[in-house]
Amino acid sequence: MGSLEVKNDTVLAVINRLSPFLHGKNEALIRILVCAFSGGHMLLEDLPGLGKTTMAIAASRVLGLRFGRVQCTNDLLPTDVTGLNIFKADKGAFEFHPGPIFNNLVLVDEINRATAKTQSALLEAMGEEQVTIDGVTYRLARPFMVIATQNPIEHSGTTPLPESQMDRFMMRVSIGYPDRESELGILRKGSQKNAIDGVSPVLSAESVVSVQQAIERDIVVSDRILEYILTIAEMTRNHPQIASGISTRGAMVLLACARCAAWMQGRGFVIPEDVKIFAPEVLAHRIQLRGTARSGSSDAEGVLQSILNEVPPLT
Amino acid sequence: MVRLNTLLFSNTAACISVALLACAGAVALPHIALFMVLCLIAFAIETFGLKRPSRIAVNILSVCALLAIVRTLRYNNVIETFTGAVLVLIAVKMMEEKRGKDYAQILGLVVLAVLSAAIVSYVESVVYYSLLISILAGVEFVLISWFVKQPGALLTARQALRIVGGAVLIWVSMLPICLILFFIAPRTNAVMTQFQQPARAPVSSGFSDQVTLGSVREIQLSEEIAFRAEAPLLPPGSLYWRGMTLEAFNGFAWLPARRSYSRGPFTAEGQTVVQKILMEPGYHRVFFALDKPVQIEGRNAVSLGDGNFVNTDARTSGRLEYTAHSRISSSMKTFNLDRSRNIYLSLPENYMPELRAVTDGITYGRSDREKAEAVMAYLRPPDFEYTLNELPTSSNPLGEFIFSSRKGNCEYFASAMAVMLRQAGVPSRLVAGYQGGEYNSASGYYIVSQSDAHVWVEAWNSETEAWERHDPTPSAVAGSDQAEAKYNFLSFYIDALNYRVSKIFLEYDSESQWEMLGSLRRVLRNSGSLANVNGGKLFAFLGKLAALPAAAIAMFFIFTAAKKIIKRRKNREIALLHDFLRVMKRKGYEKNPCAGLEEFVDFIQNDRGNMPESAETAALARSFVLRFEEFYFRDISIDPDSETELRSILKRIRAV
Repeated sequence: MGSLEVKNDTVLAVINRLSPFLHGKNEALIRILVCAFSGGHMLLEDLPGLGKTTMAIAASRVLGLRFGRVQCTNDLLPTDVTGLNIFKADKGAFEFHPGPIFNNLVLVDEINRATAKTQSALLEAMGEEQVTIDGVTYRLARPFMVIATQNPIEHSGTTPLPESQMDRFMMRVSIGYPDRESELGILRKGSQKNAIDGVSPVLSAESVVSVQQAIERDIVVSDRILEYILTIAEMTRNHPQIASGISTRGAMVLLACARCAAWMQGRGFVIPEDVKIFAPEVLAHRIQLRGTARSGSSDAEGVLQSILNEVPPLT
Repeated sequence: MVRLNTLLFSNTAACISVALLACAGAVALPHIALFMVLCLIAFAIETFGLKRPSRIAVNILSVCALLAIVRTLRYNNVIETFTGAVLVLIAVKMMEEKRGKDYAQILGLVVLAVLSAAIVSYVESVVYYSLLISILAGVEFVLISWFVKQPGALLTARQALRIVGGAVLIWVSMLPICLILFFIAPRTNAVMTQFQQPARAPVSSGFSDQVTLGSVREIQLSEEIAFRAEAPLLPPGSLYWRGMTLEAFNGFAWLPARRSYSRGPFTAEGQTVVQKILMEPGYHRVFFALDKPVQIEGRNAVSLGDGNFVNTDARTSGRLEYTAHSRISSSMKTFNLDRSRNIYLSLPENYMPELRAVTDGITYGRSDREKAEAVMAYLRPPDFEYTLNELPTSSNPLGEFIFSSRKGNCEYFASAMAVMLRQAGVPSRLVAGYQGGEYNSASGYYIVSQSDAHVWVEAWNSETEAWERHDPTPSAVAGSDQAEAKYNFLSFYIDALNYRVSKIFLEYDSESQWEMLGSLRRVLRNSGSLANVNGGKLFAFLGKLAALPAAAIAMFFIFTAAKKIIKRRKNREIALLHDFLRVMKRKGYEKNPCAGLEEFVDFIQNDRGNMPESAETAALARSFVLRFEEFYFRDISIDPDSETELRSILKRIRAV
């Protein structure tokens, strides 16, 4: 994971507020923030018990976002995610009961355990930012962000996300095992889930939206950067090891992340390093390798890294 | 990393430069200059991304250029002009917006230009240029087929090399077939050139060993071409192509004398003309050359004296090519007539006494020359007329001709004259050959057809001791005008093309092949010594061969470099960036082309930051980079103050 030097006051405040709970997960937090500030969703791919849920709850607390949670099983229905109309006998009418998706930050645990139908309802909501139930369309909250987790090892009884749906996630991130010192700290302090509840927020839902708008508005992107991004995209399309390259959406998302990286570093414009820093995590799940090396995410990241090492950013 | 369209453009440019070199000898200088100017414009448009001229403007320009070229069209430079026009079309096409099919068209034009240049100027280097073009064309086709699908594809150096390598491999895999063709093709020349026509017997050169009265007519009615002779333009009166002399007459036919001593060496005075003669395929017994042939250089040519040359290998049918040296003269001096005098006076026993009376009447008491003139006058129209129809074929054809029909063709007139001269005691003989021919000024040769077949008389003049040529046939004078209509403007050029193709490709026989292989072998054997003439020649060719793509590549790089320099001067930020990178490089820090500027500075700091000097350089570099990025990545053009400031940082880096 590439690291960046945060200079933005807001981001620094967020990190400081959460520092007692982070235990070496700074980089993961920064990626969650990038997704939050650039309006994307995140796929956390990791083994259980490495603090994915804690991480998500902590982020929602500190950003002042309403938190919702969906635990996916194979009998989970789409309405369990979106909500449904229930007949109220006393009023003699249907009443809409919103599901967990009507929160700002939704943690979808083990998304690959849900059936294709439920996954699709969820992913559609992520794409459209609205759900339609019994012919009535409900807008989702703003900001809206999904952090989906997935166990990369367990396969029995799971429905892997189709490649086309993977495109809806801004980044695919693995947290990985903490280093020894951080793990020692965790053991020493024990579970801190209750303590996280006491964290006071740095931002609110409204200020997150305004940060999103500010990044979109204020960060200058030169045509040189656009060319650079397009060259990277083109290289993935012509690469002999890659079966299908990056879509236009992929290029747009990479640009959004680069903008956010520039903003976090207190710069008013994007430089090639901003593009590079998140490129493997933003792009790896959007390409399909040829032949045998299909499943491994590290292989895709390796190919992307080799492409990045081949494209000259300054022309 | 290279863009597919850049690669395609440079390959096309290479093709065009090879075409230019191949055509350089064949095309007039102004055309070459026009072509180069247009090409430079096209190149500039492509390299510097200038605005393309509109299609209408380009079309008007090309029409004007073509008109200017067509105005130089003369009778003798059609192919040259055509090649020039093709070159200009290539340049015009290069100026336009190009899609896949445009590149294919350009390639087609390039091949056309090289081929037409090959026809005009057969020099060995054209073969090498064609070879080069064939390789480049292979690459071009591979690139075009990709270009059609993905014009802006980005290739790494390795991918580009693989494309080129693949195309070359295709070419190499064709080599065995080409080698087989190389050895087979020239040997089947007659068949190869006529495979589209119905099979026909090879043309016998018109004449057999003897001339029977009435037999020349059959030859004359043929439409076929007998031979072509490269020679300067000569006055029509001297166009007698001598074949063989016929001494013996039996009442029906003229035959060569059995006794060889009747002929011998001779001298003739007059202009020496060298002819290169290419006979059409056939069984050739006799070598033809302008009257009087002194020497013939050809395989199996043997002189029989008195300008007769025969082919000792007449059983082989095929094209026959030889060089003849002639003296243009109507008389030849010989010295040994005494022994053979009787041969030239002999007639069948008691032959046509009634004719003898006539002969005596007109020749009595005159000199040899006067006798000949008198006989000529006797045979003149309107008393005697020329015809090819209803020739006398009775048991005494000559008597019928002289006394009743009074119509005939050359062998009747010539026979009558020779017989009358013999009756008058003047040694005489017939000469069979061709008279006249069409001059193709496009390529400087005569086309002599079978219908030009002719027989004339040589009579001895005892005063000058020389054989003098007399042509009693009336059509011999008028004939040249008649033949004029046979060839129109176009067929001349088609024939010129045909002739050149025959000369280049069909004459390239096994002997030439062995010659070439031999020179190659010699080079391989003593490859060290460049002093070897043939080897040196071959090396020179190989050098030339390698120089061409090198020149094309060099041209490409020069243009790319020029583009960069211009772009840099236009853009002060880029100039500054390059200066920064150059200063850093001189300090020993070279930026990886794929790294960003901040990455570069971080790298210096992390890698060598423990040395105070490096730390200082890194700090300065960082201040430069941070300041520089403010402009560069914001698309703001740098203001003079900031530029001075940045340049001062560069100076300080240099000073560290």
